[in-house]
Amino acid sequence: MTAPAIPDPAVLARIGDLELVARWVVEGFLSGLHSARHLPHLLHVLARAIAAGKGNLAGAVAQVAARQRRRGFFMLVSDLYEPATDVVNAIAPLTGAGHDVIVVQVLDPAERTFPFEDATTFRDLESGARMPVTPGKVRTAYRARMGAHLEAMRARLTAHRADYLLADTSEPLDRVLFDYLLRREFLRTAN
Amino acid sequence: MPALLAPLFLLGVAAVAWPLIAHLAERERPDAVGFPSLAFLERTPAPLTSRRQLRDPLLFALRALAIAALAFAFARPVIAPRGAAALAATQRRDVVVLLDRSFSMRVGDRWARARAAVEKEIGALTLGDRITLVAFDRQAHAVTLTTGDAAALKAGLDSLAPTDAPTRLAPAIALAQQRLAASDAPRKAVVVISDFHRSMWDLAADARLAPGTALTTVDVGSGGPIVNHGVRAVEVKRDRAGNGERIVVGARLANAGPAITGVRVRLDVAGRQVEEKRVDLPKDGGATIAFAPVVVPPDPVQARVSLDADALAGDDAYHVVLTRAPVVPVLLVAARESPFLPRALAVGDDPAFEVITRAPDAVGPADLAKVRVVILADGALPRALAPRLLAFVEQGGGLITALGERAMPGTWPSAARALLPGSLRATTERIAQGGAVLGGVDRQHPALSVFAGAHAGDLGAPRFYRYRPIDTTAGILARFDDGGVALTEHQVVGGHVITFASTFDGLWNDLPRQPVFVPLMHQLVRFAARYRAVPRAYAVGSALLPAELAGVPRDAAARWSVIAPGGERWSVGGAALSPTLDLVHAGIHELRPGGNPAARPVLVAANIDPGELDFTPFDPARLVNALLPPGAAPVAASTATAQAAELATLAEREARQSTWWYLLAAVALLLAAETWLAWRTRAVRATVE
Repeated sequence: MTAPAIPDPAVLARIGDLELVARWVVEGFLSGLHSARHLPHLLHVLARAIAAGKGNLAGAVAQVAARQRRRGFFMLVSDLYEPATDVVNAIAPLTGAGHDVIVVQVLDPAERTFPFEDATTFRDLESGARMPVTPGKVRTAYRARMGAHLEAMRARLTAHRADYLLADTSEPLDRVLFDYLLRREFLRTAN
Repeated sequence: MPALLAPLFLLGVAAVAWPLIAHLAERERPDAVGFPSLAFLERTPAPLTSRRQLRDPLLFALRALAIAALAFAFARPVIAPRGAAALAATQRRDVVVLLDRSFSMRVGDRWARARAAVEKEIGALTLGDRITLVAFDRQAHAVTLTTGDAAALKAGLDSLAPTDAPTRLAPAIALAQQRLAASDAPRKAVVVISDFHRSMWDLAADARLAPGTALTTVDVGSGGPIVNHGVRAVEVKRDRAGNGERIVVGARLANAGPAITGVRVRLDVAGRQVEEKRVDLPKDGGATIAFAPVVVPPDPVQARVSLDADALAGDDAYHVVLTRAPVVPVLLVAARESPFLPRALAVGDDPAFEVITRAPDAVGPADLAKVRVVILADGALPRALAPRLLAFVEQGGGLITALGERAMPGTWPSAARALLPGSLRATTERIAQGGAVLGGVDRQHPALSVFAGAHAGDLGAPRFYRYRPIDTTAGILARFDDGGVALTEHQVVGGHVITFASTFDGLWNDLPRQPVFVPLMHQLVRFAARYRAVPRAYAVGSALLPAELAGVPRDAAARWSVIAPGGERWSVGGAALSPTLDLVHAGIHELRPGGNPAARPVLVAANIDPGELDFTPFDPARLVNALLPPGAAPVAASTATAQAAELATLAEREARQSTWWYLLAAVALLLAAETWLAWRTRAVRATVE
């Protein structure tokens, strides 16, 4: 397996496409570039990555599953604005291969409570579609739909032997992960 | 209930709409808000009704209150004492202030004093009082509505300035009567502010104000003696030493005040200075001046005589339109030559008379074709001439017949019988009585109207030793002292015929040796020729028919363009416009047919009305006595009653209360609260979003 060439950090800094950045990072790890010598470059790329464009969860997971033969630990961090069935189908190759899979769904508090007041035109960050919305009219329905979506996501992932974790963007992700790993270690020890 | 000194400022409350619009406009954000997914949202555009709801009613209320308070402060509220409203309802007055703005108000500080008098009336407004400000000169018009708004009244006053027009009282009084008749105020008053000079009086004998109307006069003409000089008239005469195309321009100057030496007097023709002279003006006197003859072009040309300007500049120049003297050709038919009549007619200037003398038998058809008037100097009318002379008169020619020794009964041709006013009688001898004199002169008749003035000529001076009375009862212009008809006028189809019962040759009377002979003959020939003099200048305030000025037939649909001396342009004539050219400024007006700017203009000169320059005052009490109903007591200058006096004037009360100051302070507080609340609201909203 040929390790991809690591471009100059200045060039990487100008890359704004998240998918391209993700590909570099994933291939870098899979190629063993997470060694001490190349790790700073990968972290640098991650730090400069800008969220943009449309995600392709199933494709990314399939690519990783095809290239990772040894059992390992996979963590999927996403807002999971996809049907639960699609997510489950996407991670099924990983759980089927015996990997430990943890899915962290990260949401902004506003995405859960929808606190807006003014009639506003909202723009979809991925597709760019626009929609005029009067928050007061849709808030209740929105919260119900969001709650159902989260519950469905949790139930389907758990049923497929994947750990599900709902995180808030107001909290640091490392702390969330630390708490989760600590709790998992406690449960394993207890068993 | 507070009263308002400037209620029109309340219109500023309409500005409350601004924060309302601002609030509603903020309902829709112009930029879209990014959101991770629209999957759980529904399209719910903001309905119109929700846009009409205020997002921050408290913020809006603060803004609206601030604007309303600001408008209220500018309206200058004044709080009247308890019971003042009821008192005002019974004491409120409607006042018509008549402000003279004629030319004479330019003298000295008259206009400033008049303005001050109006402002005093405005300042004296009490609760419920209203004023109608009327400006008048030759005409009168209301400058403002009937209002108690001091600001509106002062704005109306500021829009006024003295004009060049003369003063007439009657239109102003009529307008005041009309306005007060429509008023329901319990107290009504008229205030006349003027310099009250003599020529402004034109009131009818029955002019009266309604019973109960108070009349106050404010005389702004009383003051120091008037110091002014000006050009009062310009006279134009033919230069008899020349070829008839040259004229001599003379001017009459007047001076009120100390003597002045070396005053420069200039003559400008067609905008170019022709001559300048210096003249001494005596104390409170006048002078005449004549310039060197000038050549007049065939077409009319504007001219101006002016002298060094003084404080009252409007009468320092006199404008005229110069034209060549019109000529009236006259055929003098006389069997025996007499020098009197040709010499009398030779000195005519306006018009000039061109005299052709023929013996009765020598008059040819061509002679009649060239003239406008025929004078039969001794009554001789050959039979061959009679039908031609009758046809001449019927076609509009004029005939003057002196019934001399040849006009004996039975000798007048029957073919020209219509040219006699009646039958002829035998001569009357009055030499024994020292001659007869004229009596019973009809000075209202156009043929003799020039003798209507006191110094216009003494028609009673000539002595008539022999005459041939005319046996008629119609068209009698003058009789002898024995009742015999001396002068008649009758019309034959289109021509005028004047018949004189004596002669013009000095044999039967001494008329040719009397001063009145020349003007009498000039006037009789003018009348017989149907001559109408075109004035070289008019008085400001005159209303003229454009067609008559241009010498064209009247056409009601014709429009005319006018350019005033100051360059102001307007149109007259046509269906919707004034039919007359109203001269409103001193100077030369240019009149052209509408739609033809390249046409040669008809020049019309206008000068200050002479009456307006007669500053002789009359006692304003005469006006009060004339306008108040018989038995009504004259009203003193101050018409406020004791009750009304208890009410301090609104202006004074407002100045003392300074309510506007507190309102402005409230505005400042409201704006500070609005600023704090707006900041806080934005901060909270930003935190939430």
